[in-house]
Amino acid sequence: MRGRAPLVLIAAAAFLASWGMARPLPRPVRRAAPAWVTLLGPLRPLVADLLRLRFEAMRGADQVLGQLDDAWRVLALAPESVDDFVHFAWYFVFDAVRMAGSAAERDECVRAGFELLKAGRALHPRSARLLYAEALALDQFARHAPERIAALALPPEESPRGRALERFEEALALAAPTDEDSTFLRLALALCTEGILLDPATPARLRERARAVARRLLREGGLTQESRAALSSAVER
Amino acid sequence: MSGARLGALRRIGILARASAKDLFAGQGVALVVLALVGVAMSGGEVRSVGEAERHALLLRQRVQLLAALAAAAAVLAAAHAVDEGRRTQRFARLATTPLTALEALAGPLLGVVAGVAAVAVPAQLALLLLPEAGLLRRHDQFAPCRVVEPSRVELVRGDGARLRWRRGPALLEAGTALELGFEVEAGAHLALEIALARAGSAAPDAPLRWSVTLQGEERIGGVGAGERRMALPLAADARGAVEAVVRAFDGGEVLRIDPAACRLRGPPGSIAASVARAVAGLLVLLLLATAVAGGLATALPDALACAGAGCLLLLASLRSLFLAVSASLGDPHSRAAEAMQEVARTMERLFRSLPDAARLVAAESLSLGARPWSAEDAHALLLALAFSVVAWLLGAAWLRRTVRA
Repeated sequence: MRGRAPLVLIAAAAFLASWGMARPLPRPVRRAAPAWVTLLGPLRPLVADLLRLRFEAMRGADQVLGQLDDAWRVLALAPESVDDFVHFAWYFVFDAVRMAGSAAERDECVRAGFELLKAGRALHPRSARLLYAEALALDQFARHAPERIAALALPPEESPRGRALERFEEALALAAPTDEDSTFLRLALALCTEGILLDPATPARLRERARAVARRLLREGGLTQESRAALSSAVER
Repeated sequence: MSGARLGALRRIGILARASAKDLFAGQGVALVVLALVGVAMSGGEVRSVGEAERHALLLRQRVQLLAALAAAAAVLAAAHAVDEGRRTQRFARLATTPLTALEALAGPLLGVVAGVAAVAVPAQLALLLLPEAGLLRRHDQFAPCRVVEPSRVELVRGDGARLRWRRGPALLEAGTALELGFEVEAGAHLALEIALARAGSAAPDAPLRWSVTLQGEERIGGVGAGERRMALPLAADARGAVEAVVRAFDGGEVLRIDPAACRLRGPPGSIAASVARAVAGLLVLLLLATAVAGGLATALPDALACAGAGCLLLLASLRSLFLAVSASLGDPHSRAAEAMQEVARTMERLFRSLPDAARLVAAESLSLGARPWSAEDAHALLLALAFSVVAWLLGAAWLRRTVRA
C-alpha cells in the first residue's frame, strides 16, 4: 500500500484540479442537486453531454423509451441553460404526444412538458424565455388542441388563454427591450390578445384584461403594421 | 483430449481456484466503495410517461448497474492478481515449473472471472427475475414475442392514386384507405395490432364510418374516430402475403393511424432465452474486463492497468450510442458542420473496431422485450471473446519476456 500512496495522491490532486474544468453549478441549483450529481464532480458536463446525445439519437429514431428520464437527468446535471429547459419541454408538449400510445400517455407527456418548464422557472426566475415558452404552448393548445389542456388540471376559475395572457405579460415585463425575443414576444402577445377578444365565449373579466393589454401594446409600439391593424380592430369590436 | 492438454487444464484449474479463493482479499473496501457509489449513481426516482415505461427503465437501470459493478470488480481483481504475481516473483517461480506463460496468466484471470461471476450471476438472476419490474412478474411485457413489421404501407386516395408511406402518422379522410402488406411464415399464430385515433380535437357533426379488413375479410368496423387499440388474430393457417386495409368511408372526421405501430405480433414466448442471453453476456463482459486488465497489468502498475481497462470498457459501452449519433449525422437535413461530420465518421471507424459492451449486457433488448439472440448479439459476443483472447495472448507474451529477462 505504501508503494501506491504517491499514485493515490496524484489521482486525488488530478481529481481536485479537474474541478476547475467543470463550470460550477449556480448557487440555487447547487442546493437542489441530487447526491449523484455532486458525486460525479468534474465528470458532470461530460455525462450530461452523453445523455443529451442519447436523447437526440433516440429522438432521431422516433423512440420514446427513457426520454423523459434522460431529459430530467440532463437538466439535473447541466441546469445552467434556460434553452435546454425549453427544448426538452417543447419536445414533450408537441413532439412526444405524437408518438404516445394512449390518451393517458399523451396527457402524461403534456404534464411532463409543463412540469419541466415549472422546474426551469424555479431555477431561473428572471428568465423571460421560459414564461414565453409556457405562454406560447398554452395559447397553441387553446387554439388548436383544447383536449390537451385537460392534462394540466387548471383550476375552474382559470382558463388556458387567461393563463397564457398572464405568462405573456410576465415575460414581457422581464424581457429587456434589446432582447431578441422581445419582438416575437410582442407579436405573440398581440395574437393571443386578439384571439381572446375575437372569441365570443371569452368571459367578460378576461376580455377586459385583454383589452387593457391590447391598448398598452398599441401605445408602446414594437408591432408590425398588420398586427397593429388587426389588434386595433379586435379592440374596437 | 490428450494427456498434455488435460495436464495444462488441471494446472490452470489449480491456479484459478487459488485466485478465486483469494479474490476479495485486499479488495473488499474498494468493492464496498464501488457498490455504494453505484447505488448512489443509480439516481433514485425514475421519470416516465407510463407504467410500462417505468418498469422497462427500472429493469434497464438494474441490469446496467450490476454489469458496471461486476466489470469494475473484475478489472480491480484481475489487475491486482497479476500485479501481485509480478511483485512477489510468483510468475518467475512458476517459470521454473512445467507451467507455460499462457497457463500462468490464464489461471489467475479465469479464477477472477469465476470468483466475480459466483457473486454477480446469482445477483443478476435475482435482479432480473424477482423485483416488481422483473421478468417473472411482468412476463407479458418483457417476454420476447415474434413481431412482423409491414413490408409495404400505401395510402390509397379516393381517385385511386397510391402514396407510399415513409414516416409519421397517416391521416385518413372519407374515401381513402391505408393498405398494410406483411410477409408471414406458416404456423406463426399472429394477431394484427393497430391503433386508431381522431386527428384534431373537435368532434364534427358527421362522424366517420370506417372498417378494418384482414385477409380479405372485414373484421371490425365502426362510426366515429375515437381512440381505439385493437388486436385482430390472423387465421391459424395464414402464410405468405397477408394484407390489412383500413378504410374510411364517409363522414367529416379524419382518422389518424401510425403505420410504424401497426404490426403482427405473436403470443409472449419463454423468458428462458432472454435470461440465458443476459447471463452469457455478463460472463463474456467479465472475461473481457479481466483479460484486458490482466493483460495490461503484465506491463504496467495495477493502477494504470485498471485505468486503461476502465477507459476501454467505457468506450466499448458507448459504442452503440456513438454509432447512432454518427448515423443521425448522415441525414442530409442534419445541420452539423462538415468538419463535425468528418470527426463523427472517424469516431465511427474507431468505435466499429471495439466490442459492444452495452449489447453484451443486453439491458436494452431485455427492457424492450426484444428477441434475445440476433446476428448483432453473436457479433458482439464473438468480438468480445476475440478481444479477450488477444489481450490474454499479448499479456502472456509480455510476461514470458519479462520472466526470462
